[in-house]
Parts: sequence; C-alpha cells; structure tokens
Amino acid sequence: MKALMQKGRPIWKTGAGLLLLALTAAPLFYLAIGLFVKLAQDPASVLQKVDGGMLLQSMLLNLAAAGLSVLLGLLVALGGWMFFPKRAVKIALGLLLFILIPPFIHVQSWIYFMDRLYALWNGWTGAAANFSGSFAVILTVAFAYLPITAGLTLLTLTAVPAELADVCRMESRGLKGFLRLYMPMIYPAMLLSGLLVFLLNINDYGIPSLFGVNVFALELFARYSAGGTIHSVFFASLPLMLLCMAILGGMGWYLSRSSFSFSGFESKNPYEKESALKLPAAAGMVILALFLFVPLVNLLVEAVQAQDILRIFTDSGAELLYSIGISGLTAVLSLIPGLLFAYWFYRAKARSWLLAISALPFLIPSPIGGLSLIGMWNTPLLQNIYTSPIMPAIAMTARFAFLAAAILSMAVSRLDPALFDNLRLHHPGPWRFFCCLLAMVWKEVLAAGLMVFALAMGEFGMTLLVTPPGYQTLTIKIYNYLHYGASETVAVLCLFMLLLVLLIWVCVYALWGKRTNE
Amino acid sequence: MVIKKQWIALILIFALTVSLFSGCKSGKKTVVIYTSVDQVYSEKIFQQFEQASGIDVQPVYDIEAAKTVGLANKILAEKDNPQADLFWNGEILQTISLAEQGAFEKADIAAANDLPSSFVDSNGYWYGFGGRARVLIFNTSMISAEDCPQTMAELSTSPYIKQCGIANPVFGTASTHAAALYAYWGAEEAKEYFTALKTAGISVLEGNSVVKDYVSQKKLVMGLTDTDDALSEMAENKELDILFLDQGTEDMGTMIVPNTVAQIKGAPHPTEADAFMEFLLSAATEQQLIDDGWIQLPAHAGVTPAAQIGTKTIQFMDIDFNKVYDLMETSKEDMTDIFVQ
Repeated sequence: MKALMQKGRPIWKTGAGLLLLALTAAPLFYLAIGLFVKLAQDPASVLQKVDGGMLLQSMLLNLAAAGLSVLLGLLVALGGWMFFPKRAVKIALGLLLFILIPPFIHVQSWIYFMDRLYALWNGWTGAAANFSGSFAVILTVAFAYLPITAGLTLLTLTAVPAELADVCRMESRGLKGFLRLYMPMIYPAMLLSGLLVFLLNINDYGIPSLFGVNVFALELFARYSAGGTIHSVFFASLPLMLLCMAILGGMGWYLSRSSFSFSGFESKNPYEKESALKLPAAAGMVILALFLFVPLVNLLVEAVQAQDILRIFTDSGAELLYSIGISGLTAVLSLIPGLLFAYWFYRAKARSWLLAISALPFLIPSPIGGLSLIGMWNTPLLQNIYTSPIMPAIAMTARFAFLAAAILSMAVSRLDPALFDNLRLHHPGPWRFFCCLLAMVWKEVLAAGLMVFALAMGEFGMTLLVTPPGYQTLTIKIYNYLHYGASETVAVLCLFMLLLVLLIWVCVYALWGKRTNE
Repeated sequence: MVIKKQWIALILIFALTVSLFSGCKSGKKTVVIYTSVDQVYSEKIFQQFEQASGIDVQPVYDIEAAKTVGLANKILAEKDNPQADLFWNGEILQTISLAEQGAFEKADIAAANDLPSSFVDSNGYWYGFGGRARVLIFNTSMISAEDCPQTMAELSTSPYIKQCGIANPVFGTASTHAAALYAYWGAEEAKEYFTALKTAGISVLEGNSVVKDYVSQKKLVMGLTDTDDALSEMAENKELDILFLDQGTEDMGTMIVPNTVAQIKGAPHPTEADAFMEFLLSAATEQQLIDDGWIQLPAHAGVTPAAQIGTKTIQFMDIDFNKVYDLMETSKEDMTDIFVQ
C-alpha cells in the first residue's frame, strides 16, 4: 500500500490496484474491521475454540487427494510424452481445457461407475462394499483435477531445452536416468499443480459431503447456524486462511526463484525408446482413458433411462442460461481489473502483496465469503445490487479475480519493455494501446477468462448464499436433484454441461491453433 | 477497423450477458420463500399457490450438501435487512434455533387452529405440520419382520447390527432423532447407546437416501431412514418393508419429524406471507404433500395418511421439541466425537 501512495505514481495506477482490492478483498476487510471492533467490545463472543482435529483431518484429506492427483498426472503426462512426443504440447493444452468440466460431474460419474463395479464385486464375492468416505473423496478429487496436474506436468516435460535433452540422452539411460535428470526439472510444476489442487479443495465442502465426510469448511458453516456470530466464525477460520496464505506465498516465492517458464516448448523426448518408461506411460494412458470415458459413458448410460430428456432440458433451460450468463459475467468482471492490474503492476514491488490480499476470498471457506458479502452488500444503499441477478457474479469475481490478475501480470511481465515504448509512440491513446496489448497477450487473456468461467460454473458455496430469489444456477439444481435421487435427471443435466464444455473446448482449440499458425 | 470490431464485439457480448438475466419487475404481488424442502415437492405447492392467489412466489432452495444450514445462515446474515418473507423447513430444530435467535415474526394463522399443540410454538413464531417418521427399512428377502429389532434399544444388541445402516447423526433428521433420544433417555444414557452402536459396527452412511439404497441393493439388511425415502424406494422394490419401532404399550413411540413454517421478522411482504402460510398450513395442502410423497403422516384431523401406512395406528414419541433443541448442541458434539472418522 505504501508503494501505491508514493509520489509520482499516476492516480490511475493507484486506481487499478484499488479496483482489484475493492472487487475481491473488500468484504473481508469489512469483516475484519467488525472482528476487531467485536474483540474490543466483547471478546468472549468472538474467541471460539478451533476444532484443530477437524482442521488437521481436512488438511490430510486434501493433501492425499492432491498427492494422488499429482501422481496420476505424472503418469498421464508420461503417457502423452512417450507415445505422442510430437503432439505433446497440444495434448497438454487440450488436457488443461478439460478443467472446464465442473468437479461434481466427475463425482457423479464415479459414483455411477463404482456402484456398478461394486454390484459386480458383490455378485462375485457376496461381500458388500461402499463407495463412500475418505477414499471416495480422494479418488474423485484426484480425477476431477487431473487436467491441472497432467497438463502442467506434460507442458514442463516439453519445456526442457533441446540441448539438455541431448545431454540426458547421452549421459544416462533408463528409468534411473529419467528420475535423476528429468524429475528435478519437472517436480516444480508437479508441486505447483498439487498445491493448486490443495487450495482449490481445502475450502470446499460440496464433494466431501456427498460422501458423508465432514470437513472443516462445513463445520464452520454449521457453527454459524448453531448460534455463532459471523465474526466468531471468521475468527475460527483464520488458522485455515493463514495456512492457505502461507502456501500461496510459498508458491509465489518458489515460482519467482525457480527457472519455471513456458517461454519455449521442445517436443524432443530423449527417452522415447526407453522400455523402462513404457509401462508407467501405458498406465498413464489407461488413467487418461478412465478420465475421459468414465464421465461420458456412465452419464450416457444413466441418461438414456430418462423418460423425457427434452422436458428435462426445457425445465432446466433457465438455470443453464443463468449459469452461463453469470459465469461469463464473472470472467469479464475478473478480466477488466486483471488487465488493468497486469499493465500497471507487472513490475511493481507491491504486485505480490496486492495479489496475496486479493486472493484472501479464495483462501477462506466459500460460505464465510458468502456471509461476508451478505453483511456488506445487504444494506439499504447497496440493496438494489444485492437483490439483482448479477450478485452471484460479483461474489464469484471476489473469489476468482485474483487468478486472472496473477495470470495476466505474469504474461505482461514476459513482454519486452521496449515494445511498450514503441506502442506508446505508434499507438497513442489508452484505448488503442490496450487493444494492441490485448492482441499480444490474447492467449493468456483467453486462458484466464476460461479458468475463471470454469471455476464459476462449478461454484456453489458462495452462490447458494447470494443468489437472489427466483433464480437458480444449474449447479445448485443438480445438487438438489442429487439428494433427491433423480439420477437420470442429474445425468441428463450433467451431460448438457459436459457438451457445453466440449463445445467451448473445440472452439478454443480451433481458435488457438488458427491464431498460432497466423 | 479491427479495433472497432473488437470493441463492438465486447460491448455486444456484455449486453447479451446482461440481457440474459435482467428481468423486468412486474407489478405483481410477490412472496419470497426460503425452503429446505426438496425442490421437486415444494415447486408444485408454489405453482398451486400462484394459480390460486395470483401472488408470484420467488423461491430460494437449499442444497443437501449444506446440511440444511445454508438457508438458515442466510436468514441470520440478512437479519438486519431481510429479503425473505417465509422459511419453510423440512425439519424442526433449525426452525427453533432461528426462533431463539429472533429471526421470526409472530403470525396468527387460522388454518393452524386444529394442529396439535406440540406442533405449534407456544409464542406463535412457528407452525409445524405434516411429518415424516423415522422408521426401520428392511429387505424381506434377507430378514423377516419378527427378526428385526422392535425398539431403538434392541437395535444395539441385534445380531444384524453389522448389516444395519444409519445416516450420519451429525446432520439432518438423523441428528434430530439423536437429539430426541437425548431428550427422552437423558444425555448420558443416549451417549452410551450411540457408543454401543458404533462399537457394534453399525454402518454410518452419507444420508437417509443412501441407507434406503443400500438396503434395496442388499448391501445392508436393514437401516434407519425417513418414511419419504423408504416409501419411495418401496414403490420400486417390492422386497422392502418398514417397521415403526417402539410401538409397545410401555415403549416410547416412533419419532416424527414435522415440517415447519415461520414468517421472517421484518419480511418485505407480510400480507403475502400470511396468505401463503394459510395456504401451506391448510388441510388440503397437507393432503397434497402426502399424495406427492413428501410427507406421510398428517397433523390435521381428517387428512388421510400415506397409502402405504393406511389405517395403522401408530404410537408417536411424546416429546417437547424445545427440550430436544436444548440438547441438540450436546448431542451433535457427542455424535461428532463418536462417529466422525
């Protein structure tokens, strides 16, 4: 903040930073101020015992899920690298696009799949088995976030410079050689992707609750309704928030120090003919096949049992349109401050601090974020916005905008500073300047927008609390029907979302390929 | 030209996005209802009310994943500037909790005059109606009714305990049932009972619907669930049957979980809220909900119970729900200690 106030900084640079903070962390500042006031007035009403056991249990659960996802991601990446070395980059980017599939679609598909497997097992052995509990959470989360872990790992494999690859080929062969020489180069990406999966899930209660697993995020939420105040619950969530901040800070520090760059991609694989790596690579291909076909096949099998697919579709048309609308608006609302922030702060010392602060709504359980938004927006002055259909988009922008700012500031920081001088000279005026900048970082803008869109489509912890009466997102409707047991309806709705995602995937892939070739 | 096209495209996309969900506010009367009742049941009632009264219903649904605390928390958070008019809850303890925290307005509803006194808040803040009972569902191909435990106490010593399932008693109606046992038996005895269940190897599942699924699929022999889940599965699987526990003359009776409705304090549309409460609490609506399968046991005299229950005389647990609420926190803490993995 001190940097923002230094003399000589243009007012609009300060404005860009404040805009990002206003859209993201403002509700938490509002909550924090309230917390301090309450602590001063009545500390007993705020200071609550934190359930350390539950917090530890949630952390271990998510670490296990992230760890399994990283391991599966490594195997899938190996598969793509070994069997399709020339297309590895395209496969990696294609994998990353699959993050658009909301996690609950994977969850529901795996429930159907494992139920059928267990029915077979029961038939053969007579032994009953359940797909529930921590094992089910770990497995489904690992597969749901496989695009991140596999995609990033594969991209890093292809980013190893050709000269180094040649050295590896000459100096060391076999699995030992790969582990000794290549693994140190790719484990930063593996670590990064694993930590991202951890952060995305530690504050979520939706998937664990589907399998009967209680987690810290839900415990906090339940505590509020049992007579706690929002400030006491916020206080109880601080250990988790601080932990996540530490992880995020560590990731940022690690990224800034390690040679972790996607500036160039080489498709050379010095171990292409190495038989020792073929088995894990083949296992990776099986895992990839499971990832692709379990959702598709199981949803299709359930959906064909539905009696009136057209009626299900028309009954949910409003929810589908609303979900697309607010997710799209969330992406737009995130990109605007993200671009402004990226331009003004890509080299500023305050960049990391501002990003960390704007990430706070992402680092706390989504219900706490939702409750803080209600406290801030449900006032006579802002009520018209609070009760409007766009409120969920504002909530989700608060949660995810920092991702857009982080991706775009990394993209802009890679551009040549001399380019900026040329742009100012030949394209005077802010609008033309920004349009040219946009043209140079359009891939990253698209990536950031799609990531925010994907996360927004699957979000419900905050959305549940701020969606105005008369409106409903498709995610909430699906969760409602999941409980009711209407598996055919759920399958049809999930298939719609899957098809939508595949359509976006095809368009982006085509656009990306076309623009890359131009 | 390229720059202009990009900006035009951006503006069009933004306009389209906004237009997707910008709605014109009509001059129609409106009532905003927060409900934890499954959308498939409540939506039908809302549509019937709209047709009958001309009042537009704007619902907000909860999700099971939030374990019925989602909307309760929203109501509490909006207390200073309420957006909802009514809270229609599928159970009772959360309603009492909100009443204790001053979230509701007193309402005088004529349709509730013939409701049992245990279903009506003595201060007039909430009304209960039509309930679901906690029953033992069992698979007749694996166990006979005579071999099933006949009381809750017998459950812990049943030879089939390892093949018996319950929903997680930290949440939902299973939690309400646990708190009711705390109120009826006393906290110490109830805690011992649930500890014995855990030690004996009872299966704790995600929810009541999972319990009935497992019994139907023969993964379990029997399980405790609600009547709406049980009867919906029995309609698909003729091998299933239910038992109302504790029906002996000296026994405590079966636990019933009533629906509840209350008006939010400071509701924006109090007149419309009263109109909906009169509609919801009427005998006709209660019959409709029974026919649809959401509830099985009426509170109004003259309303026919669910067909599968027919003319059975069922002894219900005589408890004070306010006392159950007082023990809810203790019960939840104990259930968390005993059952959370």
